[in-house]
Amino acid sequence: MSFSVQARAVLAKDLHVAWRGRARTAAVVAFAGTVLLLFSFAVGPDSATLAQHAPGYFWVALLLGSVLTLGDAFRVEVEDDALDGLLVLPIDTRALFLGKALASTIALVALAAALIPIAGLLYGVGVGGSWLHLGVFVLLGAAGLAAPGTLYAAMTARARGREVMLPLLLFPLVVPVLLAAVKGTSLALAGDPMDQVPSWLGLLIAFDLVYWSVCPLLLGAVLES
Amino acid sequence: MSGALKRVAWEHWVGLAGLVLLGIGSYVGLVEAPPERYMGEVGRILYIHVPTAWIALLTLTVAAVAAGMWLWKRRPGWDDVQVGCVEVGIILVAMLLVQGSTWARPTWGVFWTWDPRLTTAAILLLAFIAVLALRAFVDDAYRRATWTAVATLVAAVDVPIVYYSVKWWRTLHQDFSSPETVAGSMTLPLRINAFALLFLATWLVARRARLARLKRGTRVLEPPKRSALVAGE
Amino acid sequence: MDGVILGGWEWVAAAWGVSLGIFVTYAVVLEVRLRRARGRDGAAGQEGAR
Repeated sequence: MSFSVQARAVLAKDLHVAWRGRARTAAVVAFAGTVLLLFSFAVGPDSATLAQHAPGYFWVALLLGSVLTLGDAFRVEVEDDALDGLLVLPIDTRALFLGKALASTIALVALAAALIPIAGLLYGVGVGGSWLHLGVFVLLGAAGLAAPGTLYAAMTARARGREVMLPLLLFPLVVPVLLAAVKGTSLALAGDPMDQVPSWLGLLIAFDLVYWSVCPLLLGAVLES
Repeated sequence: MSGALKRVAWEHWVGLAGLVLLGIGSYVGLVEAPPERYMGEVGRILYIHVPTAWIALLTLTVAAVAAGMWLWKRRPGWDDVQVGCVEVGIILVAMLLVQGSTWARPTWGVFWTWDPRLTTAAILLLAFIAVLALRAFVDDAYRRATWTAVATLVAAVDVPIVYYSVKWWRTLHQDFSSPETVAGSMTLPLRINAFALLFLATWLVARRARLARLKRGTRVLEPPKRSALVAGE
Repeated sequence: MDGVILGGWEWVAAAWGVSLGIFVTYAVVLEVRLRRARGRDGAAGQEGAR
């Protein structure tokens, strides 16, 4: 099997598994929605403040939800020792990584798509800038979370204390993603008169490029031991 | 005991040299050097702060190199160096944050600001503490070494990205002025203290590596590949 | 920054003291851990590894 066929097979398998477990996905959406609600209670009923910081709350809720989604990628493999079976196959670990990370990216984009209307309603914000910018930042932000998240999930799924380890490893790492995505989302919502979008987009693309090229190479070392 | 000098491990001599240099550097920085033009006496914090920053970054860079060497050669010695560098790097970054905050309070009026370097150091500290925490959760020695190496490399790659992202994030708000210029009278204590901390860090890394080797050596000399029998740390 | 900051020796002492205190604490803990590890090996008080 060629590289891309392998990657696509893994992607299709993971999406299939995710679809079968859609009750869990719905629970993650409900959890992230609850986080959004909690922000409004924590900040108070001042709608101006809420609207101003809506992109920040949205991305933190997505980040908290992403830990549950990302952990799934390898949790399903470790349960029932499916991973051993997967590794017996003549599969390139880089293709395995790309398939799984793409599946996680799609799952995160879906989570974000479900959260955007909730956040819009709760915080009373609409897209006053550009829908295209919003979509691009959500996609690139999700990809930035998925690449290191998939690599770490491969470790933490097989370590003790997995619930605490994945966020502990992932959150400090993705600070640039959070900064760029929150800024980009605010600019997409409020418009971009100062033309700041390109610099934040560039930062996000740089992060994605670095981690989508480094992490596939390291997955083999994680899985062999 | 005869040959007492021979029993003293080599790293202790490096540590001793570091201590002596630190004494000289501190004397020059605290007594000989004149007060800084704008910051007054507070500027003297920089004589320890700037060398700490250099050596902290150097130590973590060596940690990433050792991580790469482990993944390449799989010689257990590289894991010993790697864990030594990560631990000592965390200590140095913690020192850096303490010095930075105590410098920021009289100069900027607050202990904490979102200065790019301060913020990057804090994120760096958290990222490498996470690496150590991961280590504690893995029992198999071979797997622990490999996963530490992977996590160290992934965290090290992040450092420049974090720095630039925080810098841009800051410059779109107000920015604090930073004393970037180094006067001529400052370079001597800076250099002495840099070498002092380099030697002291080397001493600690060597001690930590020795501890790792001792613990590993109590059961097996070389962790066999793909074995679950190797004892945990 | 306006003008020279007067005084400030207490901050200098705090920065030097606390940060080197962290360093010394780590060094002491490390030596204790080394001594314990050697004790388990039955080669207490010696530079066991070479």
